[in-house]
Amino acid sequence: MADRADVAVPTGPEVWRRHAQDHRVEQSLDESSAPLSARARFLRRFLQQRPAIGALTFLVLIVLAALFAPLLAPYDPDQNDIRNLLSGPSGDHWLGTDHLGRDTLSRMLYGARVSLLAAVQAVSIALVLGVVPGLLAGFFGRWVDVVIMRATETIMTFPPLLLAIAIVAVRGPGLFNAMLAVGVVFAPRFARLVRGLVLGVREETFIEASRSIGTPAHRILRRHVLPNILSPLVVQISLALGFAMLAEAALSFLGLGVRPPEASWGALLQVAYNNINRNSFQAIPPGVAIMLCVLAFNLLGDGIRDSLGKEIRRGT
Amino acid sequence: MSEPPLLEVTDLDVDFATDHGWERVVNHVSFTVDRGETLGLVGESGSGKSVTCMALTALIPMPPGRVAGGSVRLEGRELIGMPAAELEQVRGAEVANIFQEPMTSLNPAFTVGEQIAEMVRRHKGLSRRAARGRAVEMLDRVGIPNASRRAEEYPHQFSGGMRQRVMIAMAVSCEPKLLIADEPTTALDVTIQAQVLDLLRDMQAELGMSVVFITHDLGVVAHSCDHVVVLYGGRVMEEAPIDELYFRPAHPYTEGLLTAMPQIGPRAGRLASIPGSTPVPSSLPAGCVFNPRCPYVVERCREGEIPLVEVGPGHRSRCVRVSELNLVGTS
Amino acid sequence: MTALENREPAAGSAADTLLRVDDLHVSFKGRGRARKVRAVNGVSFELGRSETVGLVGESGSGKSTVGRAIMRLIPADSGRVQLDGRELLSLGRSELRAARKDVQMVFQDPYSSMNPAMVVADVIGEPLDVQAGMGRSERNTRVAELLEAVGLSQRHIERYPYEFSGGQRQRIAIARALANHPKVVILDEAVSALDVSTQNQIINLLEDLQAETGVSMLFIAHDLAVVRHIARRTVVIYLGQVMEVGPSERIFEHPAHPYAEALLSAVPVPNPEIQRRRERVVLRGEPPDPTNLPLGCPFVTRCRYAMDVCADTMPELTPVDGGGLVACHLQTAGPNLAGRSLDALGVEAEPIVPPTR
Repeated sequence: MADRADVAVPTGPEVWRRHAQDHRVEQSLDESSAPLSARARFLRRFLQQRPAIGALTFLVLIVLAALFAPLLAPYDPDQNDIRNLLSGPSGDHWLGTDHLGRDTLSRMLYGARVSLLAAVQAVSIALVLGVVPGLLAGFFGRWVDVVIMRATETIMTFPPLLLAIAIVAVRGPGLFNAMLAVGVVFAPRFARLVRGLVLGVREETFIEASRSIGTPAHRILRRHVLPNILSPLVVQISLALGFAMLAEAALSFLGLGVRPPEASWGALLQVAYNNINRNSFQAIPPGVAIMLCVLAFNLLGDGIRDSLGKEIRRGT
Repeated sequence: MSEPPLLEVTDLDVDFATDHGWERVVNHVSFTVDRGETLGLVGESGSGKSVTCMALTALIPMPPGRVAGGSVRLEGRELIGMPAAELEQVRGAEVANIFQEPMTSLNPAFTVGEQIAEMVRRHKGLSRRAARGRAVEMLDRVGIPNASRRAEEYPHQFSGGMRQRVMIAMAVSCEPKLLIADEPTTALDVTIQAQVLDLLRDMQAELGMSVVFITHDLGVVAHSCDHVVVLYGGRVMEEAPIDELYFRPAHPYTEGLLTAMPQIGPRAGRLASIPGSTPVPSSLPAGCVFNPRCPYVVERCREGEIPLVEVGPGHRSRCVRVSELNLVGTS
Repeated sequence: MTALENREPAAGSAADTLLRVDDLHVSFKGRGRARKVRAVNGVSFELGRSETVGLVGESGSGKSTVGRAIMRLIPADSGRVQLDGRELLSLGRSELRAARKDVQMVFQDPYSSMNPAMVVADVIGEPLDVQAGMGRSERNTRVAELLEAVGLSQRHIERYPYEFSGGQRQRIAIARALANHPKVVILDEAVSALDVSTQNQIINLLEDLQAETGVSMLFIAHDLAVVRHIARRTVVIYLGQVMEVGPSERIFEHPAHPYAEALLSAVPVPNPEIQRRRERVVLRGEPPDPTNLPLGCPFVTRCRYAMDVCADTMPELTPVDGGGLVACHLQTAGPNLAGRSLDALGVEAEPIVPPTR
């Protein structure tokens, strides 16, 4: 310590007190980077997720194909080509024809509309029937929770397919009824998911902080609870869309969904199955399309989940 | 001088992966721990103290972390890059950890007796019966009343203070050479903290082990440590024997901390404080990492890497003005 | 704790009372069997206008529960909480919503106390939206004003909470609490989660804001040194009961209650020399099971001066020389310790035999 010179630089508590006085405005926020909204950060992370980007691109292409089916389809989907029954891929019919000589590619394109719409319908119904009860059950607890959860459990005790068949049996076959059934089957799952998420958020101090301000319950639900459960919910929606497509295929396959001659991927698969001994190729296009879409929805869901930063879930 | 120190950490670098690439959270940290000594690793949040302590027993989760450089030697043996199986043997038997929240390091599915016995059986090769006896003995030694009955209980049946005693019992059951205590009393009430600190000191004296004590509380350091390393922004700012640090601090950050440390005494007007916030690794300033908050800052502080210089025996400081400043310590 | 009114103002009450808590009881249902945990067990104290009162205790003392019960975030079993003479505990739902404007709270954890999906303008602006019904531009002007008042820049108005450090977030929380000009702010361990270097900034800020706005503060904390600095009067509670109340200066220099003495003695001093020299009173054991409290003084199981009378009779709060009240039989039945430290008795003090009554 011999080299510590006695230059009279004032030191000690007084220096710190004065120093703190002179620096009262906190400016140490990182000003260099422009403030990124939660959404912008999400997008930046999402763009780095290759599988999810691929899945999204694929789904967008499918949606476009479905939208522009009348322009893209080489034939009328119901037009019979008597000379080509159950043909394999050819120059005239890229994906062959079915047992009535209808062009499979055209039917796939038109079928995409039905299958996608059906999935969206089913998930929307499930959301309407599931999210609100889940929110209420999770937030208010007590008897509200008990009543709603018992109701959902009752629905969940039915085997999903049986429940769907029962609904279709009561309301008659048809795509909307089939999707209503799928929606009813999914609703309790959403209700339970949402309830669980709300239970997690409800204990956060910011909910208590908001209550202490005098915020009414409906505003707390809308401003504090919903935004904080939205992200995991979106992940589940994406996964559910995949499942709903599969369910549509299954119900149509069983003859409970679309009614002939309308095309859906599931209906195509059923027709192909009936004729599988004579031409096995016909099962491949709808089968592959369904598989890829379900896979894409799942990859998209995973990608969204992984892109949700920790700061959205909690703190940093 | 042939025998190496018990623990020797040299130029330790640890990175963590972020959205912007690797971020260095521990930067060229070096220190040694002698046998029987208690080293205090002091720092605020973001100082890198906990990451440093995890690196000591290769507990850094990888990914997202990585040890980017440096070495950690226990009695001359390199722990960085040691095969996992060998490391397993070192952990627990030679180096033991206790953490701030014991609940997270105790398995809720087993009784505390079983957990301590398991540890002893693995490292000391005792029989089941002997291990069980040892577990009860350890619980008794750390001051848990009715040890043989309480050994049959599960972690959740213990209070916070008792749980920390259980952790200590488990940690010292294999008589390690080094105990790494990461904020072991931060979650406890003061009256319980006093008990646990005393217990730690007694166990250390009894077993002759060395302790690395990670804390943010300079009061706890004054009670427990022989030697102190002050970390800030992932760097060693000052290193000194305990009395040197408190009475002759050689770094403005240390002086600031000592000044800001709340004390029970007559009210002294406005509290002194260090303005600004602790920096995050992504936005460390150039030059001395403390310069934006330092009252003694001059032009030289803002450029280049500041070296850690010797200012006395065992006393080092990372301040370019150290020879011009007569810093004030605790009075 | 009867007839608080009959006591002279020097006995631990405020000169110009703003908030009066009287005989407050709060209990929770215990886990498993329906055993009641009595978290707050007849707590009374007063908070004066522009005054800061410290509420000190360890975990399980019920100090946070007192704060939450005053805020009516949890229901009280019985007792009275009067703000400016108006009873808060019996207010109906809509009256309560309006009354919440006057009592605000700052929470311990600066990370979980803010909705991560909201920008600062909405966090601080929420009380203005809910209570004042301001237009957007008027609201944002007020938010900017509040940001400046707590030492942040109004440039930060559109930032998200995660971009701020713990200390900065606590400033935001303070701004939110002050938005509607409350009469009382309850600070529940508001600086406990902060670094030492930032903690004092927040304390200084609170003192400045109090000087400017005249707001009263109930400062709930376990850190005695911080309370010593900020609070003019201090209430020490243990297991839901007031052990000692009075001027901070007197309590911290001459604690009259053995618990207060032990608490003070346990605080580590940042001075290695003093640490080595001083004799500390290390309390033995842990607080008793809150579902099964002793009949008498709750501290009897750990008290080194415990007498027979302590086990079955809870001592009344009695005036102490130097100001304040203490609930200890040493005051009434034993030697009068008022005005001097209990240390004077020596560590070896034998339990004092109580005089028969």
